Amino acid sequence: MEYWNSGIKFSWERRRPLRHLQLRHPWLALGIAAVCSLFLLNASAQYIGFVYPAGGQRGSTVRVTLGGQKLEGVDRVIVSGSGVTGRIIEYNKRMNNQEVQLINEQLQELKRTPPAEQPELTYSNTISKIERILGGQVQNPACASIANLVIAEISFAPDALPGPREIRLCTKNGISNPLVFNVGQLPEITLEPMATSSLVVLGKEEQTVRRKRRAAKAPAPEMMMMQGMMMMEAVEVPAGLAEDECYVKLPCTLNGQIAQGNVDRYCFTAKKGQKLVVIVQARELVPFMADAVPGWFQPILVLRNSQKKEVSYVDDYQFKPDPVMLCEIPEDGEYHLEIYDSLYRGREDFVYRITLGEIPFVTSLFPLGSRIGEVSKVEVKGWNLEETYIMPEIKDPRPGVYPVTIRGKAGLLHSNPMPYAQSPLPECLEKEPNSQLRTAQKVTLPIIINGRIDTTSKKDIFQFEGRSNDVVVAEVIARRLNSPLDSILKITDEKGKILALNDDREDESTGINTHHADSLISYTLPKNGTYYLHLTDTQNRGGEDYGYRLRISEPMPDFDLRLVPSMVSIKSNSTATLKVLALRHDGFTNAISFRLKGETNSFSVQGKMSSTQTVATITVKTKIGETPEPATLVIEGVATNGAQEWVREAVPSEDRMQAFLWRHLVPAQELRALVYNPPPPPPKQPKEKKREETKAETKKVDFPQGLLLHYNFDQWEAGGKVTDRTGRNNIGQATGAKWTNSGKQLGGFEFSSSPGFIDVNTATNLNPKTMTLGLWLKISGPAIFDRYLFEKQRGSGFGLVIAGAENGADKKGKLCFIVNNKECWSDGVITDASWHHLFARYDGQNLTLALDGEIQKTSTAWTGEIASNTNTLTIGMNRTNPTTQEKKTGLSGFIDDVMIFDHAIRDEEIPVVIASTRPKFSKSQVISRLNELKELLDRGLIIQSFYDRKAKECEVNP
Amino acid sequence: MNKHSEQRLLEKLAAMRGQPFSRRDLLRYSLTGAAGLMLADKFSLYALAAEELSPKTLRKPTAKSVIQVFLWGGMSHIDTWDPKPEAGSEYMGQLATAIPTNVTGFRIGELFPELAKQADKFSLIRSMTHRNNGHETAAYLMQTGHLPGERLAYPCIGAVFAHYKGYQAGYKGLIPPYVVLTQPQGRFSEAGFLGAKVKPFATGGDPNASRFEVEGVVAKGITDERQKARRTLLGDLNTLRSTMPEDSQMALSKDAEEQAYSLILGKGKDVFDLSLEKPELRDRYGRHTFGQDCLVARRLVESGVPYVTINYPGGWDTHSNHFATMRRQCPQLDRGLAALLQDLSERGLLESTIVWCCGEFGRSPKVDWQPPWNGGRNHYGNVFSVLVAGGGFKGGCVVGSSDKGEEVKDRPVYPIDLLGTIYDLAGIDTQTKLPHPEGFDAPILNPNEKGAKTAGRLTEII
Repeated sequence: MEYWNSGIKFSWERRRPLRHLQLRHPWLALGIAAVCSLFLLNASAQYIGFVYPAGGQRGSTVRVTLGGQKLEGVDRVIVSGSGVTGRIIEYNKRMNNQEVQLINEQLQELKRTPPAEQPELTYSNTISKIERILGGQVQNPACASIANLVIAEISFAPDALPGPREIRLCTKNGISNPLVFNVGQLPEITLEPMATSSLVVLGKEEQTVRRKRRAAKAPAPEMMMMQGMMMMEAVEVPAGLAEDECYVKLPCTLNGQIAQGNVDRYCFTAKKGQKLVVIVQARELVPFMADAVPGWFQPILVLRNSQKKEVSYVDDYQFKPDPVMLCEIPEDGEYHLEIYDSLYRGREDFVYRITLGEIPFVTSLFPLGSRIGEVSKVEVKGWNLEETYIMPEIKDPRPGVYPVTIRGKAGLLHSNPMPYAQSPLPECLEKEPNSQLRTAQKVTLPIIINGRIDTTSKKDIFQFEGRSNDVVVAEVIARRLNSPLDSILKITDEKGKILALNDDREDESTGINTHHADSLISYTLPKNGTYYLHLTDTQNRGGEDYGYRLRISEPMPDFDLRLVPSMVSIKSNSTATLKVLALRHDGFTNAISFRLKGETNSFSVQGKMSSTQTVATITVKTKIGETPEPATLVIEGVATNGAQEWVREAVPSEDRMQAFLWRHLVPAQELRALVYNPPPPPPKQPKEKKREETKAETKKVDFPQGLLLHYNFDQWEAGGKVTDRTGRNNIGQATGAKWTNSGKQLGGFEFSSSPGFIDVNTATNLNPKTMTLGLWLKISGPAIFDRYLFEKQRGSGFGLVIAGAENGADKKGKLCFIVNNKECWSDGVITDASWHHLFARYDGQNLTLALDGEIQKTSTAWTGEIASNTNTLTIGMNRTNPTTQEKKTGLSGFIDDVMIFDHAIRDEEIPVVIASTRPKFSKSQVISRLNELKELLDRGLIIQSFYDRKAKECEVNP
Repeated sequence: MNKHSEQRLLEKLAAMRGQPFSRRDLLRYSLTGAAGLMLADKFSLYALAAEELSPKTLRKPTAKSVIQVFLWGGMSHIDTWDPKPEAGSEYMGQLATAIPTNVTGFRIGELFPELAKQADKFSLIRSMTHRNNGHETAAYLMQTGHLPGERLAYPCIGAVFAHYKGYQAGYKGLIPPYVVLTQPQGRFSEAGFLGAKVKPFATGGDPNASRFEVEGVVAKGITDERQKARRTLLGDLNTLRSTMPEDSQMALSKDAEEQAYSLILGKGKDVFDLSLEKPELRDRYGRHTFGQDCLVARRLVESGVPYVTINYPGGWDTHSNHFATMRRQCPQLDRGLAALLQDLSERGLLESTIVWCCGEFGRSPKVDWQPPWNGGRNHYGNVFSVLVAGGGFKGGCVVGSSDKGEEVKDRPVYPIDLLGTIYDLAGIDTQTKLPHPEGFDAPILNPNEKGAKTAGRLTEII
């Protein structure tokens, strides 16, 4: 039965992390420092921090959510290997406050007046989309770099090989880092994706604790969503199932995300004697979190019986943080499985995947490897396995570590993959008894010994003959092959005197294994004679799982290579760089040169590393204009020494931080290269000279003096108070009218009730002899009756009205400015649901109007002064004793930026006043604003007319 | 109050009352008001502690007081006092410029123009190192001089000052000898094994608020008049004292009460009253919490308090949002610190007051552009910078240097060297054994402990 093999070598072996920053070896410190310098290279890289669910059953189609950053324009999702394809459904970028305000405004407009430009269905879809996006919007997310969400649909072919793959996102000009994405064998149950978490404030953690929404809740018989088949399967649900519990049928795979303070619960039925295996993938999915301590989701798994009594508890498996529960079911009945974080932390990237049931699980192999071409029978220990012995089939003749899976009972399922090593040296098996000097097993070098630390003596001793000045290397390979052995090695003479000792060493290649413990001694023998090599477990443990391979040989200089990062984006016919780190073993000091593996005319690689270097930059060059899909490249390093040649593939890796401090190189399966055609450069700016000329011609116009009253409505005030921004204390009082954050610019007032108005009681301050009224207005449409925008005793004062249909069709929607009962009508009408700026002015001789900055042709000649009166100035509708008709004349709309000047402003001052009410943008802000608008338009969150209007407002503030 | 004397008093009172008498009862009956309770406890402990101590001194002290500005979280050294413009944007990020100071050849980061004008008054150590990157452990190292993970939990330098420069050394002030503005550190116990009697008095409140409500001194919502009325009322109700007029413990508690009230209602309170300062001076310090913290610190040392710590009111743990935080906080630090140095100097106090300012470590010299940091700096203990001034420290000097802010280039300075020099200037012998409650051998500093490193006292700047 086949299993997905991610590369030439076994992926676990390739997951060799760099150790933390407190390094003993200066060369390694230099290496890490150099790798750290890649941060700059990665600064603009596309990034994904989680994918949920982290896989699916073959033969199914699933919808996944990926969270990351710099994903604008995402258009492709790619999964390594064959048989898994995907497409992007939606991209939901986390919005800034300004964008939220924009789509809020758009939403209200759409709800009030369906746009003519969109069919009804599209229009209602837009509304629901905006509402959904706004509902998921979080002001301060717990982790902003994973708060931009991409929804994708992934299809798994029925014959897709099961196993861990890698998922990435592509934009037009870049590829993201990979994340583990599994092809599963079992039906899957997926809880609803969680919404973006809010930032947890120290001491106020309870504010972010929330109840998770469940996947399936329906009346009995419960309908359980089987993600694998995208179908609903009827399941008998036991009575008394907890509200937040999900009933599942074994075997299955469970997908969930843990939120702050959450415990996810599943219920299932099992029979006595069933050998239940529960495998959790959590840390394996998101290996390192930079901003969390500990630096990964640390799951706890608890199994309870129907009385809720604990049957089993696990919080890890051997030396791995992800727990595996192996439990023989004690009696027939219902069981309850709980999963939560050990510190009750949680957010979107606390993703887990649980495989649950009587599934095959291998706990150990023995021996852990063999000589190339000499594979022998391998003993297998574990649960629910079909076989107890296997003959591994390693097709690749090269040294390395390869995955081996075992068939489960009935041969239907694969077990967990186990690493199996293959080496060119002669090998032997450990022979007991060998725990005393006198019974030490004799070996001849070079040799690889396959052994186990047993439970009784807990010690293995080997003796070998050596000559003076010979260098002997003794290396334990155990943790790297999934053995829990925490080795300690020592070399003694025949009297037991310790000559060399090692517990563990810095191993920069241990990948996601932060519990690396393999020992290594390199020792120059002082004289001819017999030497003894002692191997024990540091924690004095042993057993059938405690296998090892012990190499004893002269130094075997060699090297491994790591590439950082695991993707490269190159402009058409151009070059890009990658960092390469050499891990030199047993004193390897040769120079290394780099090349591309395989034939290709599209790419080439250049670079070399001197004999003393451990880090170098290599160049990837392309001769093509664009890659339809990101290409998979393999880069190899070549070193020679006379006739001897070493060729080693470089393992693509991602540099990841753990818990604010430690750094690790996490291996990836592939190096992906994207070639893109960059957009043409922006058009050239107009010449400076011309601009200066224009400047010289245009005389700067200042904002007019004499502002009597100014309400910008930008801030909400308690009790309906409205502050006069001129400082003249013309305080308004709103009745019925409501402050809204959707004014023309920031806040405004909404007049939707009748009566709804703002009264200004400082009447005597507002008796100018000539005047200008200005405001922004948005109304929903024409009305039968007149609607008053301003009124201060129109008969012997002034007023501004939008005419109703009662004045006749020719005047409907027109503005009417009244001074001492003398009327002046506008040419244009206001009937749409858009913002318009209005001016009404009287200069002592003429009444004129301006609509959206355009002076209206019609004016009314009248000479005199505006009569002084003691009436209240009313903005919006007000009638203390309304007639029946007047009751219906409430202004339904919005008003913003009300201004009253004590004189008629000049024509050239009109644009200045209007500009003063518009957002004050710098050049860069205009660019940013336009980008935001374009993005919202592309995402379908605003409609074209709204975009056009807002884009028009983006004028650069002089 | 030591345990034996307290126990004797409690037994005596219990015998009189015919029922057990708790320590709480004692304090409740002998003092008035919550603030008084707390302070009286401190005063009596300090006073009694004084009898038990006999500090050793090595040299004639030049420093009478210390003001420590602790930048919790670890301030970037690259963006502040060890700029490396020649290292390029990979290191400097958005703050690419170094500015000259009033000392020729002495440059600091662009966000410190006010401090640049006072450079002749302070020196910078640019080769501070301990190679520890954990907040708690590095803070412990920087404030005790001892390695974390030892058997004993040592007191911080402020607590040692409280022990040797407090009441036993003739300090008669109303205000406790070790004051923290405004919040205690919380990341480790400042008093260590010396115990509660040398814990700092954390003021709480905000000196930039209209009323600086100092914990236990300026009560929230209670006027001075009301406080006085309460005192009279409770004094009338306190019949215990009148029944035991000759008892020495009662007399002691009465003294403590008087001291507490002097602090609450008298001169002690005035020290915290910034309205007594000229508005122009308050402006010079900056009308923000840190600026006014500095002004309070000056007033405290002026009134004789031996050790004042200003815990910077805002974190410097800038893994993310680094440059915005630097642009927000550095100008406040710049203004407050510069005004403090200038003010101390103008009042002749700088000669006798050490000012030192640093975090528990620096920050990574290269900007981390990876998510989730997106332009942040992480913990970095390999090399960082410390500002020292006054009390015997020379001004206008730079001690040591770093390469690109990544490693010490020359003259490493270890915590033991820095703290040892401060102790020396204050006349405290660092070989003096601290009184451990279990009798363990616990010198103030121990360069011989396993793993400890020293490169010698900062003789070049004293």
